[in-house]
Amino acid sequence: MSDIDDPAVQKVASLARLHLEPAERDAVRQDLVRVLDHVQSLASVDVEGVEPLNNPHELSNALREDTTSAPLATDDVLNLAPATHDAWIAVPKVLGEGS
Amino acid sequence: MKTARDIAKHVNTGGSAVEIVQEALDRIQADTSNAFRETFAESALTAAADIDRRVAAGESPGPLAGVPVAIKDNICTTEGRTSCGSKMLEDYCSPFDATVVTRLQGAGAVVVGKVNCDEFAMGSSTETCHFGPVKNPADPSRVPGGSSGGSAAAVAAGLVPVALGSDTGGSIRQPAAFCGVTGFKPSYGQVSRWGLVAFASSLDQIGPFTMDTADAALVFGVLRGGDPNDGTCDPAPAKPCQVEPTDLKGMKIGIPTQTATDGNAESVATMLEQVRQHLTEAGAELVDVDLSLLDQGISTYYVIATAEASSNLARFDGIRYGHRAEAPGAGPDELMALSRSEGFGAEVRRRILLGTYVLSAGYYDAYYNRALKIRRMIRDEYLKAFSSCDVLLSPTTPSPAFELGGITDPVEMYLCDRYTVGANIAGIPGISIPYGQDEQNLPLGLQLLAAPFADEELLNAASAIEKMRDLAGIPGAMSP
Repeated sequence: MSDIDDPAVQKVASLARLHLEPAERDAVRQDLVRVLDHVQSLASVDVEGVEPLNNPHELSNALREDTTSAPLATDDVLNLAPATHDAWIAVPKVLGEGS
Repeated sequence: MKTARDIAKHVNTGGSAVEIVQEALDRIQADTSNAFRETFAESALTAAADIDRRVAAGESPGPLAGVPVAIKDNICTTEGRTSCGSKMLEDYCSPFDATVVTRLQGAGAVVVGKVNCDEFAMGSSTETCHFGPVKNPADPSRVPGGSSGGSAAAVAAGLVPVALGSDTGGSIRQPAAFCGVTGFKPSYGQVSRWGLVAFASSLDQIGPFTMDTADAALVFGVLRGGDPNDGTCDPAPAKPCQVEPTDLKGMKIGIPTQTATDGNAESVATMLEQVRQHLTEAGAELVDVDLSLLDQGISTYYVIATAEASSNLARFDGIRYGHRAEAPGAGPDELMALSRSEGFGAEVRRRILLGTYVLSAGYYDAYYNRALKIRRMIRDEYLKAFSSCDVLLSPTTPSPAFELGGITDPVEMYLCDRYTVGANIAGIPGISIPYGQDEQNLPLGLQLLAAPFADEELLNAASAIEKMRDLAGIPGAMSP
């Protein structure tokens, strides 16, 4: 059994910027335990001396010339934002009083 | 319904693209499967009229002239919305077209609309779609598979001859098998993902749904080729692809012993036996292959895919685009958390949490890093297998399509992809072709895999097996 308790669920939710209602936390915890129990099988594989494989073809960075190209039009981008103010995307107040 | 190549030939020799596209739009309007999220009638008919004009002027609009195509809802189009089956992007309109969309249009194809999928392509049944589940055209009480369920259903219901999907762990091949059509996942790096909303970037691949292998090759030839906007894409220039069925006599076909197990539904086991018999009669050499790590595939996949998803989906913050919660007085962090929790459905949240967990301090080595090591071992096992056989053959799925609402346990749902995740983990090409039906007339799918970048060899082998199937009188693609 994977040992993931309620504080651990809350910590992961906070890292993932997800808000969980108190009523759903236990169901979420049980789902995570269920999936983590399944993936425990990985612990049985001997991986001694094996290098991690991030990408199937072991690609390295693809480089290109550092040249300018036309950006997206400002209006096209602003139209996607849920809240705007003049030519800016509006966000909640970030700094407190007196900051 | 005609194949894409028949339609293109018809249009390129003076047949009306407008007529073809209008007929597709009429079929979509009458459809009840919920395959389509939206249609682009006006722009599609305008594009079709333009193609007709070009043909009349003596030009050749391309190898897909006048072919109506549907695009999965997680592939960006400037026309309509790109919602990824999510409330998060319900009203999102992409300011650019995905490379694959531009290439299809450049070859004369006409985009008639967007098709539904599991939310952010996370699912195996299209039931996590915010816009309602898609029904399997073969039996509306069953799922079409997922996550590209709308793409598979659109082709199976005869609405369009070609639909694009994306495959991160089987999301093209599994729904193709469930719906009775052909679904092709090219090698990782063969087709640009620019404009595909990322789920798990080291696994995602775009590919076509079609009625047969020859159409899959035709579309693949249009899609493939380097793209400066996708650094993971092989820079080789685009070139057409035409299938030539391989001679089955002497072809070495590997059958992983781990896919011929008691875990398969009886109908699937019977199909596999039948395929073995047909191949033996055709002179193919069947080789038993031991993929001892196949059963670690799902665990490996879910650790890597959720880790990458938790990172990729961090961009949905409720600030720049997508859903923002109504939360007067909330600070930035709280607003992000509320927006994400409202915008994402249960399966997406589950995967983000799992991915965040396996990447978090104290668990990274035990889960994520270990999964990456096993990934190398799995890939090496496939590469070794291809030193003794030309292609690997297995059922695409352990069972035919299940009932809507029939699977509620997440792990049971993940296990639907048992035979398909390996191709994504190893970056190799895979195809599912229809191979008969069970006693309830539900389609059954046969999966073929090949070595990295042996996409053409894979299509040629699939075409040969398709021919063998037809000669044996086994039903192929669903024909409504």
